[in-house]
Amino acid sequence: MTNEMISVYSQALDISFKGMTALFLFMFIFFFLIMAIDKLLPHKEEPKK
Amino acid sequence: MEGLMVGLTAMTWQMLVMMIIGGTLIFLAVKKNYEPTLLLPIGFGAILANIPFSSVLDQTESTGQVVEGALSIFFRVGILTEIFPLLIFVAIGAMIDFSPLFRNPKLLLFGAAAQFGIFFTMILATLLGFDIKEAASIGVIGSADGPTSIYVATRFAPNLLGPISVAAYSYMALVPIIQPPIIKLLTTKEERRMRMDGGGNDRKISRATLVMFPILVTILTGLFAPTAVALIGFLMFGNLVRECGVLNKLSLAAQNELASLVTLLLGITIASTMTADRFLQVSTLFIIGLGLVAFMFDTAGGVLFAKLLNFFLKKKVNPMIGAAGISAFPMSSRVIHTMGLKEDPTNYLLMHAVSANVSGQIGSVLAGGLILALVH
Repeated sequence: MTNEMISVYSQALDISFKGMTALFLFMFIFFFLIMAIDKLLPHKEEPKK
Repeated sequence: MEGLMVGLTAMTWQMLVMMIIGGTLIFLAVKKNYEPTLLLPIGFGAILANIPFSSVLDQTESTGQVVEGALSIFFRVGILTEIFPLLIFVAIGAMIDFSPLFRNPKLLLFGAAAQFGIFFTMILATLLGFDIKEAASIGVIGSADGPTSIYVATRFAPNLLGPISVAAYSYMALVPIIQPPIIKLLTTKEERRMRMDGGGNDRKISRATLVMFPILVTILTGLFAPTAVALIGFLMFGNLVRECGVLNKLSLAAQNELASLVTLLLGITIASTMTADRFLQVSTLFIIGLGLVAFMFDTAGGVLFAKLLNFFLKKKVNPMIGAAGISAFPMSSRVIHTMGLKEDPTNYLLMHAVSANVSGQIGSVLAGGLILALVH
């Protein structure tokens, strides 16, 4: 492996670590978002006309 | 007479090979029903693009004047500007029903875990000599989401757009063949038989929740990863049109006419990059191989994450559900449901698999946006 390839490879490793971490972080945020909206705006049966 | 023979005499064996590839794609679309909406236009476009001096592509006349070709114009206007993939996202957003996810939000995590193949493949691609932008574009095949693959490849590796699109759409069609052996390899019979509780499957979700979700997701994603806004924003806009309840005609138009028209143009336009000199390269073979690796490791990532999660959960998750965290909807959830029924005909996993599959649709677009943000 050339030096350039090693540098690209380590860049890919770094991006992968950050990318997976960020993905899980976003999903956790969306999880709490869903819980919060669902709690604040629960489904209410509409009165029958 | 000589003028009429120009095309015939300029024909090379490479062009002939490309026409055979185009014909094969049409065969797969028509005979095998593999993603026909995309593979058929791509196949026919590949034939169009490989006819010598084809007027669908830009041609330079002997006077030096460039005569613009229709597909080249479509490419500049629709692909390079990213308009076609973004319009497809509006259509996809209008098709997604997030309510299964609201009923079982913990399955959102599988939408992240099953993107593992993207990053694994990106690392592998760098070892095969691709630069970081090309490697990232190849990895995104693992998003199992054609428009995301096209969007990222347009930005980072337009030279690889043809093989990346063909690989992405071909493997999406092959999900029922790719996923089961990987799942079986990583799970025991007992695990595949595992039952899951209802998870509130019959619980109703308020319209306000369904309307607020796409708006808040767009804002939150935008604040943390502004480069992902176009991807997530257009997807969520389509979903808002669907859920708002006052734009039913627009929602139906987005799901049907818009989706059909733009898919048609997208497919045939992408094929304009599939000229013999660009497509018949060793790198194309690598891309096709790496695409398969991406799908396999997405599946493995989802299943293994589910097994890990089960160490901490009281109510266990059937590990097969993890594999449905990819974006191929509803194919992947159907595969998991069918596998579950094969192990135990009374075990219905469909609703859980659909929840994970919907989360995969968010996860794949998000992964594409994050790659755009992280790769420089």
